[in-house]
Amino acid sequence: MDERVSTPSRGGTKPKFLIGGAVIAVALLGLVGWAMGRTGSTAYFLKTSELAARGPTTGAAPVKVNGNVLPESVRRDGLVTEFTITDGKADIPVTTDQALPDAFWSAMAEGSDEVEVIATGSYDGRVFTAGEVLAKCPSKFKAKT
Amino acid sequence: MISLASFGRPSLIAALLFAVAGTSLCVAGAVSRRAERTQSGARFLVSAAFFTGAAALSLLGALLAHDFSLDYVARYTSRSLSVAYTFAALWGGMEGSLLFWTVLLTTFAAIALTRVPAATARLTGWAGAVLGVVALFFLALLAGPADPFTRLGAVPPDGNGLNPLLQSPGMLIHPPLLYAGFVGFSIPFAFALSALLTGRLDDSWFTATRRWTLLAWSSLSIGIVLGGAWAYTELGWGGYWAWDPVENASFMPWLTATAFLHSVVIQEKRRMFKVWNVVLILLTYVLAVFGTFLTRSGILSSIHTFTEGDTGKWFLPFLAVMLLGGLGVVATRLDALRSENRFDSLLSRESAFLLNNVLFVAAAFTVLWGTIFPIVNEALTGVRVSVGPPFYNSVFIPLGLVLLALTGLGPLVSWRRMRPGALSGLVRLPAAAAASVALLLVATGVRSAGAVAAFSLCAFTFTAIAAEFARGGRVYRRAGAPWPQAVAAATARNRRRYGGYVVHLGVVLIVIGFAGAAFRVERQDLLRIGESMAVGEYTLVYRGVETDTTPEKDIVQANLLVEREGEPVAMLRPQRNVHRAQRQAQSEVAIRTTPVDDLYVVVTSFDSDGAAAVRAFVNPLTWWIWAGAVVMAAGMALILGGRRAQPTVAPAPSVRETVAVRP
Repeated sequence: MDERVSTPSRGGTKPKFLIGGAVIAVALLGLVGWAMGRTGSTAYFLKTSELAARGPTTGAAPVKVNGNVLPESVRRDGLVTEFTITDGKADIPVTTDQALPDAFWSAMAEGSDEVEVIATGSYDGRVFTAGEVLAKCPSKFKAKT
Repeated sequence: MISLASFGRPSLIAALLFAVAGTSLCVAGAVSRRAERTQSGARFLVSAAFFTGAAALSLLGALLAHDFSLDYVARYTSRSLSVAYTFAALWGGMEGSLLFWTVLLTTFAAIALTRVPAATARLTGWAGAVLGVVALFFLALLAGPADPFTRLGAVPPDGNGLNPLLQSPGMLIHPPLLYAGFVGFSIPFAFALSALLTGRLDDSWFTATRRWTLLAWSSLSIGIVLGGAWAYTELGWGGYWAWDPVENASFMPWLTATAFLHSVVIQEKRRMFKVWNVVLILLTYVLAVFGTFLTRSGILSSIHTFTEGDTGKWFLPFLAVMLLGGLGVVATRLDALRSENRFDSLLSRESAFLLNNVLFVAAAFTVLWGTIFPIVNEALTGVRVSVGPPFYNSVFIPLGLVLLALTGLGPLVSWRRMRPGALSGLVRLPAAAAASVALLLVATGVRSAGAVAAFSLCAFTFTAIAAEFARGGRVYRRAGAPWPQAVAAATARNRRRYGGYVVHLGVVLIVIGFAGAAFRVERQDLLRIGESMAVGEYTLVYRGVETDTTPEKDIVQANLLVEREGEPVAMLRPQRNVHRAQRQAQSEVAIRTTPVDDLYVVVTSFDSDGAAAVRAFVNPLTWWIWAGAVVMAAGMALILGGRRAQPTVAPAPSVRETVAVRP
């Protein structure tokens, strides 16, 4: 924040206000720093081949991986959905027990191979287990016109 | 074929030309200080508003007439779309929403510039110039890269229709309210810049534009809440706020605007914080345009963004010019913006307001940091990361709790200085209420520290506000009026103050709703017909499937009997619908709402044998969020419904201040 702006009453500000202001500023910066460091606040966001190269994830912090879904790989059994994502260089199978977005199924029903998903979870070196899957579908509207 | 749409582009070009003329005349009038030039400039800008409106009407006409020769109409509507959503398609796509933005901007500018109170007449020139430049930017976008009137070579028999997710009553009002909020801040922004450029740095710029600020803030507040309500009822993940970049985009200007609403009070009463106020309105407006940029640029993906098109790239230079230009003008006027008073004491209303401001602005910067951190980090280190809700929640829960306490405490503290003893007398009752609530919750087994803190601070602030109403009413009570009339009389006498308290009460209720999220329960299960699942204290029994067909969609509906302690309490009917125009399946949530909790049920898929994947949530106290929003809206109406507030000056010993009452 701009120093000039944060001290509206310039010239002759009493020391206790400066000290109070400094305490608040340090507290706020500390709060933001602490929040950034908490589990789940930030997550690595990797391409499929980057995750495959890095290997298994460690610790409790989830990672995000994105890739395109191979349409023929999608299997659903009750609540569990399995599919394989690719970025053209590497493939990773993904399993999730979470509901997939409606747009995902719509695009799959049309056999689209342009559905990109962003899965959040952990990777054991073989399978990515996702607790959340977001799907980004091609703009069908644009494609048709 | 001559159609309504044929008038669109010529109208836009005319609006652009009038805006060029109007802006030039306003600049000329401001530089030469000749009011008649400024006035004719304002009249040209009124004409620009007229022609922008004509362009919007022409697009609306084309939408309602299903003129699919227009790319925009074909992309966002279809013959089967209802009239209301066809109307809403005006702001449902990128080009249309920019046109809508521009209509609001030019209309607001026309009204503000032609109905200027005498005290601020000399600000009109530069204010008109600033508004004209902003209008020119948007009109140039519409005339060039974001033309809503692009024709298709071959006219399709039917359009693509509106995204089914956007076909919700909230969509009819949520975007217009947000836009009215964003655009509304351009009026105080323009007058603030004008005050800087003309050197008339008294508080006339914000008293003259106070209603605009309040209206913009109210629209933005209600718009944000409606956006949350839309997400809650349509998206099916059980929540109302996901810290999505575009939600953040509307929240950042709201935070700085809220800081601004509070800090102008200090300038008004104590002639302090002048630089701060100008910078706050500048930040608010830049963040509002930044919000528009985020939604239009496609640099961040979310439900709100229109990824087609590259209109976004035009926004960055425009934003940079506004921000740097604005700060540059502030820098040249620093001497004239010096405070006329100093802080007298740490324990004073001024300090409370200052803390409020620091926290709101820190909150805005936190959101900004989280929103742009992934972009900055990737640019600097090449490593892609994402910032998730845990970050925002970790910052906002403590910040929000301090702000909540301040909401109750601030109005109790007197201006200039206060003896700690005098304050502790006023705090006793609210503190007792807070302590009782905390003890009660702990005794009944509530172990979430955040929730206990939130509920007890809600009790504190609620009691403090109630006591303020009681103090206000006491005078009339002594004159013999019964309590309700006494409080009403006090409120009528100072609508701004008590309206503000009503808004604060709404905030307290909303926080109760937020705190309820600590006790949220979520379950999902695959149910065959006849099977049941438990969620919280409820049991859902899957009784069967029904199907139906409407012109727009095929409906598949699950009938779920809700039981509580063995007794049936409701039947919930979540659906999965296939919208034919888009060949898109969509879940319709079923919610049973009570003030105690919401039972929220969504079917994420049906199997061919009728088995349903059911996701169910118990969301305690969510009802209070919407109730609090209604109370907030009532407070806003109370403030805005009053006559133009007479500026008042706080009781202060210095002679200079006591004579500073304007006519």
